[in-house]
Amino acid sequence: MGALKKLPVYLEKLPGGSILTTTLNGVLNYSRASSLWYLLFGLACCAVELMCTGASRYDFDRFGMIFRASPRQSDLMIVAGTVTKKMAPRLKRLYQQMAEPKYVIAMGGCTISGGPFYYDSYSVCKGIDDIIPVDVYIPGCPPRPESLMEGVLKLQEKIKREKIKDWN
Amino acid sequence: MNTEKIAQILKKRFLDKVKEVEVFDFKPAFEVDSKSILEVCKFVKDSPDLSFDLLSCMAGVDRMDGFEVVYVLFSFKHKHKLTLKAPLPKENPEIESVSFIWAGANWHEREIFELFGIKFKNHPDPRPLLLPEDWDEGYPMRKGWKGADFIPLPQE
Repeated sequence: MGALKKLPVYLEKLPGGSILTTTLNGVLNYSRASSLWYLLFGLACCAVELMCTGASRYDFDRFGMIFRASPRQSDLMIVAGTVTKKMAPRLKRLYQQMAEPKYVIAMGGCTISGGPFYYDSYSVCKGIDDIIPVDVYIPGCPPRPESLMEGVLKLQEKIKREKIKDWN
Repeated sequence: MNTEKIAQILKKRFLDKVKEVEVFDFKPAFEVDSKSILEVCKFVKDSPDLSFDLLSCMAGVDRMDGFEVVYVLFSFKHKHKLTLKAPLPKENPEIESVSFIWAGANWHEREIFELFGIKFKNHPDPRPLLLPEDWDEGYPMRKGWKGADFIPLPQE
């Protein structure tokens, strides 16, 4: 019964059984938030922290998160690392190839603002939100796995607040 | 072979076309007239006493009053080093390509061309190498370069 408390359901006990009532909204949001398959998008040193978070010590799998090598199978894009101007069109293209609903996490200083490459750089994008919409920003250089997991939990909160009537 | 001997050979062969300069490492270093760079490079590679068969590094430098191409050479046979520097004018910097002598110079020269605008004559494949395909903002490694969203480091 402990697990039921986390679910968006109402359990009504009847003689000889029980009825589980819930909203479609709740079930959809719950399943979306709990199986975020993410696109491997490691571009620089942040990718090492991303890999570390996906590996057994921090274990992304307990959030239902598995990495995918194809944008077609991904719900979430974790942009981990420095996005150069040459990479920007590829980033945009991969984002467009992802199926709806799709989410983006900007991981690390470089993806937020250009980070250490903000000044005196001719080749680095000053933040990926110039190119694609971003849901969660995680600062750090690179962020620790704990920060990345905090960012993912924030994204899950955001997904669980979505309403079907807002879909377009 | 020691550095004095390399210097001796080069001075004897090229007289005033080369001038010894002070460098931190990779001694000895010579300033070479940019018009005779091909001749000097061919000589230091083919001469059995020098036999510089590896171009270990190649760089462009913006000296504000002109440009400079630096060749850092190494010899596997004799285990000695040599630096060649070719000064170039500020306007229309141009130098002969050495990619026929050391094939490794090919990509170095392409990179130096797109970052500094130093033209390499007779280069076998003078396409840009690293910058985005649609790049049209000039030569970014030149001093005082300004791009569309370039933000210089604030001076205190």
